[in-house]
Amino acid sequence: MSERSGLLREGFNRAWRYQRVLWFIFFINFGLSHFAAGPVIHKLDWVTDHSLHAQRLSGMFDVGAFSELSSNPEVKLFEVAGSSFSSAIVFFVIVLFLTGGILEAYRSGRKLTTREFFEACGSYFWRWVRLVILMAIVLIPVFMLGSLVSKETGTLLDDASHEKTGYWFFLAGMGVVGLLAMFVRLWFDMAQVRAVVEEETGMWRNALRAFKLTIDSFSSLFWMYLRISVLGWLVFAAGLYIWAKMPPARFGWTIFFLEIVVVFGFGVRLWQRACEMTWYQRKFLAPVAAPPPIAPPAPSPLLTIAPPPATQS
Amino acid sequence: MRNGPTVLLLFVFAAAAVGATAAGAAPAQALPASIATLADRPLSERVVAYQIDARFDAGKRTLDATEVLTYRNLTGQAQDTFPFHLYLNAFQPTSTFMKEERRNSAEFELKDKYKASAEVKSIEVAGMGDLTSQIKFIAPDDGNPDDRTVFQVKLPRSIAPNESVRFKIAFHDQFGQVFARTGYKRDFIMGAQWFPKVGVWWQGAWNCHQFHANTEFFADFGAFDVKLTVPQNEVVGASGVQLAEVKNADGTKTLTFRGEDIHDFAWTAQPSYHVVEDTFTGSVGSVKIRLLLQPDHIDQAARHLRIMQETMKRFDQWYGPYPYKQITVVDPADLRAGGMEYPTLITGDTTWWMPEGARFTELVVEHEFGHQYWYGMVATNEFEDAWLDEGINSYTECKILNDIFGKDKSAMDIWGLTEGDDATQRNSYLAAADLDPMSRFAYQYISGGSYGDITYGKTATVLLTLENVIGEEILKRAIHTYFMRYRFTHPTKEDFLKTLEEVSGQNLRWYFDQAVYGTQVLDYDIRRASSDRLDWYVKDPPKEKKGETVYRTQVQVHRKGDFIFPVDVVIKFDNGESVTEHWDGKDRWVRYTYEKKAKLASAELDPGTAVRLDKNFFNNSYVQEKDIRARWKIVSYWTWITQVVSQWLAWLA
Repeated sequence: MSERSGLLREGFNRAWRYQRVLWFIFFINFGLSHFAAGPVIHKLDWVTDHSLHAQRLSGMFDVGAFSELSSNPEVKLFEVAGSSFSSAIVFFVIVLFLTGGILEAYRSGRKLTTREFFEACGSYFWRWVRLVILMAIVLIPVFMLGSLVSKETGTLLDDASHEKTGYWFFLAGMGVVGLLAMFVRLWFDMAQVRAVVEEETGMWRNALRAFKLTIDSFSSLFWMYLRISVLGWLVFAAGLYIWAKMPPARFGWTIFFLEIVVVFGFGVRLWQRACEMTWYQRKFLAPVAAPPPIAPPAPSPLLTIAPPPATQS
Repeated sequence: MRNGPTVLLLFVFAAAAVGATAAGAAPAQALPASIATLADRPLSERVVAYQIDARFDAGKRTLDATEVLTYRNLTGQAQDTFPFHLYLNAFQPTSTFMKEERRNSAEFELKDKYKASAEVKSIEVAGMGDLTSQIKFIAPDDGNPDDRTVFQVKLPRSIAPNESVRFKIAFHDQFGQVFARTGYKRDFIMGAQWFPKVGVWWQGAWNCHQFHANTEFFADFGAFDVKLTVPQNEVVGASGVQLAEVKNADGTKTLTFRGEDIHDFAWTAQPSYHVVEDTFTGSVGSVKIRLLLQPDHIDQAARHLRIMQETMKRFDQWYGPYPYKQITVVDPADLRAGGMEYPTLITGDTTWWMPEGARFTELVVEHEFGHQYWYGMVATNEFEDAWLDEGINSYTECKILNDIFGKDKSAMDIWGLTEGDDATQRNSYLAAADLDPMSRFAYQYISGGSYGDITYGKTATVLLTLENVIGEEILKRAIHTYFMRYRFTHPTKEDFLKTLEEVSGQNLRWYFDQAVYGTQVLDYDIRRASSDRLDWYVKDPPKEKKGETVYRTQVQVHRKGDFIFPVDVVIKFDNGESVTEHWDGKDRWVRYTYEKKAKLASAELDPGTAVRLDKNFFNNSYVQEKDIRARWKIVSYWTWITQVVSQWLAWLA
């Protein structure tokens, strides 16, 4: 227990020490998303900026007014949803790219220079691409199971003797699917960690070895991973709950609060990565023995200036 | 005997006494004029009297019954041909109903479990014998030879005006899983449209439409005496009131129901219904509310009863009394049987997780109770004038829910999100604004979506806009008059429209021709509004000074749509002045010009958005000083949601 607590604390410390990467990721995320909202800005400025009816959106949030606005053929708000989804894909690629530098920083335990950071990002990127492809293949049966759960839920909602049976089945089924997905994520997280620590280049081999080490240490690894994930979900849920209670007119503070929730989400994920790295280093790297004290070198007769011989009088 | 005559006299008196006693006993056996209503006399003409003895097999989901229909010929003409509805036959693949479902959606499939049917085993007419061989299926709407939802039978001799004819019909129903309104789900059964129902003689002809994907029902008022035999463990709800329950030796029980001055009879059964009862006291007496809930919804009993009480109170006060002794509220096991109305029985629509602020539960119960008035008592033709029941009901739904929950929160008030029912109806209308007129027959709409959007949403919005023309209180009075005048009859759309004109004292044809009979769309906008200094041509003009510089302000109002409607325009200036103009909307645009020592602050059409039919409220105003809050609020939420989606996707990285 104390070792696990130490692990979470150490991981937190590493993530905290290198928090500039958290803000870096957050601002990229914010910037990209805001850029993707550009078409929305353009669509709305001539509709809402000079309209009294827009007060039903600023002073409160009238769903009817929003529905009217978004479905207006002259506005077609959701037409631009594609650009937002594209930005999400771009962000995914950026995070994939940055992962190498982040893990390298957690591995070394020191602040990398910008050059070192991006060199590490570049050197691992294509390995991560191969790993993502592998992970996608592994996730296919997980998604198929999810689809099966969904289908069976539909049948149960129709045929089960109690209305709630279908819902409980869905929750339980999706819970299992979620845990499986988390296991797969953890497995490939460890594959990334291993690739950085062991400077592994063969990703098939790396994935197999990561699978083995994840299975061998499943309880400690998964428990670490799950706890941090649960904390993240709880904070997200609490954030939504608090958001629902905030007055609609004070949306500046509301948005600020929601951004804090997003920052926390990234923080939680980075904390997980730092903990994984710490765990791996503790488990697989022998502690470096303190070198014996170096004796001062014996003076060299050639280099030592001998005192002059004593003179006879 | 020496007193022979005396004995004879005594005998005569005794016989007379026995006869008198027997005569006195007969009235005691006859049913009083009203058992199921609060009135002391019939409320309708009672054209029909149904006596149905039915036996339901819960295992096979079948029903076998004998129906005796006594039809009073009040048509004013001799009749020898009588059409009947057999609605259950719509749930067959070749029916018109299913053809239209497939037309609406090319992916539609009718699975076997949803198939249902009604078969007439025999039909006899008193005094004329067995006419089973005379049954002929007809398709008066589309000529579909495979549609079996209407049959007619020709009698060997006519029934004279004011004469009655008695049909005895043996029939067999096979229920399917609920597809639309009727059927089973697990151990729940909704028995709706389950018996052969005679058509309506209306406007000089038989009105007996086929069952279509978008249509509902139309029938004559009368009395129903129904005996329903079901397994003893069933909890049963039905139209009318229950008179008796007899347990049978074979493990079944027979329940007797009576419905009076109603035009349909529905029933439901499920062993696990949870029964809650309440009483509403209205202006004509107490009404029993019988609520049948699903086991998982027991905690929603108070919600259902509360909305029933609030709704019944307002209907009683605003429009007229509910005259029946009971209203049964059913919480069905399948949502496809929910949200439906039958005389004195309604089905709600809820789920175990429905939060209070979502108001869906309340909205459905209110709406379906409203149908007791619009359709139940004012029995309009739902095939041809669907808007007269669905639309008027949607309008009264808005008024009642607004009164209970507040105008801006009557449809939703949850997690900071609010919506009024007015807006819900209007947005529904906007989705199909220019597709179909309200006056179109229900089965002739371009699609099911348009049918719903127009009959519900547009009608409600048309009536909400009409408040702006004649006044809210006058419209309420007009609808009250319409109800009191036409209850227990079959009015037409013109009956309703003329009542509105009569009570308001205004000629409203200009409005009805566009709103009811037309598809014109109403859309006005402030096309341009600006202020320009009057001395614009002067070189090096003096600096602008508030209160001293003279400006010419122009406001252009444009009618974008084809619906002509008078509107008010309010123009405000930055010195606090305000001018109200009234435009008749007949031309395509109008320009208002002012010269003042003040600049334009804002121009607004229809302040208060009373003209609900206007397609776009956002272009109804122009504010000189930009307000970016709404835009930035939407953009901020859009950005945040994109961030969260990106964050989740990055989990795969």
